[in-house]
Amino acid sequence: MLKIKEEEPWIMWPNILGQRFIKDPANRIFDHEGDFKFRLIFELEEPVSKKSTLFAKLPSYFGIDLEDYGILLIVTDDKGKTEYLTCNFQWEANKKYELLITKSQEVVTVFIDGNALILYFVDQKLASDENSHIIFGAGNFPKNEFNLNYLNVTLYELEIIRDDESISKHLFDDFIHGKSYDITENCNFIHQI
Amino acid sequence: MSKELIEWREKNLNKISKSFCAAKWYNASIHLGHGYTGSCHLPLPHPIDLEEIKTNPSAIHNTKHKKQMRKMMLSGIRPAECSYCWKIEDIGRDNVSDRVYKSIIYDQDDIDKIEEMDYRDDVLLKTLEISFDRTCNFACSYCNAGYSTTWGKEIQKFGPYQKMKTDSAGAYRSDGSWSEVFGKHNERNPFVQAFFEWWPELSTKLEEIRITGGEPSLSHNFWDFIEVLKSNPSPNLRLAVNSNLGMSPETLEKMIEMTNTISVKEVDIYTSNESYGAHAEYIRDGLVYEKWRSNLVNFLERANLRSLTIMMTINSLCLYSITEFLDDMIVLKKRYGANKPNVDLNILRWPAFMSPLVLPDEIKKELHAKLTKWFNEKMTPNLFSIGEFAQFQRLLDYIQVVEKGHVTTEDDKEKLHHDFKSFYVQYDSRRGKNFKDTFPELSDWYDTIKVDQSIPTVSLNDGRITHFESGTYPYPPAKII
Repeated sequence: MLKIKEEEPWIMWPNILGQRFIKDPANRIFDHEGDFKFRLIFELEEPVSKKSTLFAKLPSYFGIDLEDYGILLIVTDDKGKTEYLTCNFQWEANKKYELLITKSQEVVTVFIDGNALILYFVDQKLASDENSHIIFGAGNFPKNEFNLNYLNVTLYELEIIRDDESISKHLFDDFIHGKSYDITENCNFIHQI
Repeated sequence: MSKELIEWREKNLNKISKSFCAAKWYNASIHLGHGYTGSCHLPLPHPIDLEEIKTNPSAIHNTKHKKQMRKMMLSGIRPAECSYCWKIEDIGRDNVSDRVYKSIIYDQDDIDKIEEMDYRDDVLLKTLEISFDRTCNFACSYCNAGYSTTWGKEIQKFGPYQKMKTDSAGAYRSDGSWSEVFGKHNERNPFVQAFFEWWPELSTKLEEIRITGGEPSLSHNFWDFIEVLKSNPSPNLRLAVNSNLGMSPETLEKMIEMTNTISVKEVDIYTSNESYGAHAEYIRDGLVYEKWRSNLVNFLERANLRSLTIMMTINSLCLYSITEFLDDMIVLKKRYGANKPNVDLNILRWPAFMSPLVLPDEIKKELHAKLTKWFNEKMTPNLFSIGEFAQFQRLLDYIQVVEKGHVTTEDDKEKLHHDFKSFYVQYDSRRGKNFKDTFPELSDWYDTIKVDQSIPTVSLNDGRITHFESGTYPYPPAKII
């Protein structure tokens, strides 16, 4: 497991080392034009009392915020239009949740524990960038000092499936030089910012 | 009573998802005059894409918007436009909402097929409600110029309704001319053309077509369509016609003759009323109760019908004589059979200021007691079906439990009360009616409402529906799914 403490977010950005380091890096999953799945098992230390970002893909934003009333999906399309889609949900502390985000048949669906909560119909392609990166536990880099929305969260498992192929999986029990090891051996490391 | 319906819902609908309703696939209301559609009459209709129907005439039903709602329903997400059902279900008490009544009419095999489909697939309808144009000799209070030429003439003569605060008022500020852009008789209407183009394919699967209006018996397109049916027998098709039964003796004979000569499986007639005598004549302007009842009896006695159903639009004013009206229908049920007539209770959504929920709590309590007494004493299984029982029970629960109307943006009761008064003052003046004489029980409360005369005068607006809902409706927080 990976305990992410407030003000200490982690990031998946392996191709920062070189754009051709990985052919299909998992951090660009939300840029993918085909189908994908993003599955994250996590646990909260305390009930949600303020806007808190579970993860955020930047620079074109795609992310999940936990709110005291429920869940918020933020999506940006390739015309730069941002949609905010919400659903009521009651978060509990010390309980494992499975977040699953799928894109299939041009629909992005957000599930919590197998229940679909949010649908986003992909009219325009999702926004795509060469340098996409996924931050866990914050909505931005701490140095930027805005839209941070830190979250105390424990991650247990992350799997990213591109079309039907698992391209990244983390069980967060194997760390190399402070980086979470990707057991698909695709080198999609996750490390503290 | 409704235990069987709840079991059916769990076994056949909720196994797909808790927001699933087969009507979104197999049922449509299509307003060819306007070019609007919805699946089930409860959500506000949305526009049909003119470009899409050039290559796919089935897009008069299979719109992009509906396909998105279908995806939500397959995923267990509740479309906001279906809030009527979600409010009923969220009351608790195992209430059965319309998604059950609207789905149970389809074969189980057909419902199961939906689960296997891509949400983007085009679907052939099983049941269709369609209107060709808005020609109508009535101008019911809860209708508007988009659906009635008589309403349109009133707005043209007196101008838009003034001094109103809620969004619902918008419906009374248009003369409906926007819906006649394709000619008075739809001669250039691409939606009508798409319908006739789709008809050969559609008629192979369609089980029921229900024609509404306006008043269909006054529509040229209706009689053209009857000729198509006469020359192309459809032995598996049920033809249903919504009529206000306010027609002339000549048209009455023509309609009855049609039911006896047309080559379809069977014919149903639907008409509308929900209150008795002077109350009905006030709410449904143009209706003369004795004439309506006489035409109803004529149909029951001489037409070749499977059933005749009275659609009851439950609004605040009808509650004062709804039991007297049902007593009158019991007389007919006893004479002609339990399904002649059926009654079908629908709680009014728009305009919000006419909702039964707008009435003050003490009046609602009094009416609830009156309705409950009638329910316990008069509603007997030999005369009323399971569905009729459940609908009446639901009405009782609705009046008692639901605190808000169906419009969350209009939940300010003060505004609703204001528009209630403002509307009926103008309605009386334009139609030569008298609210307080007709509903003396409401007179004291009515007098307490002051109309804000400082509201600026508004001019005629375009009137087309622009606020149909496309988002989701949340589950109650306490029990997420």
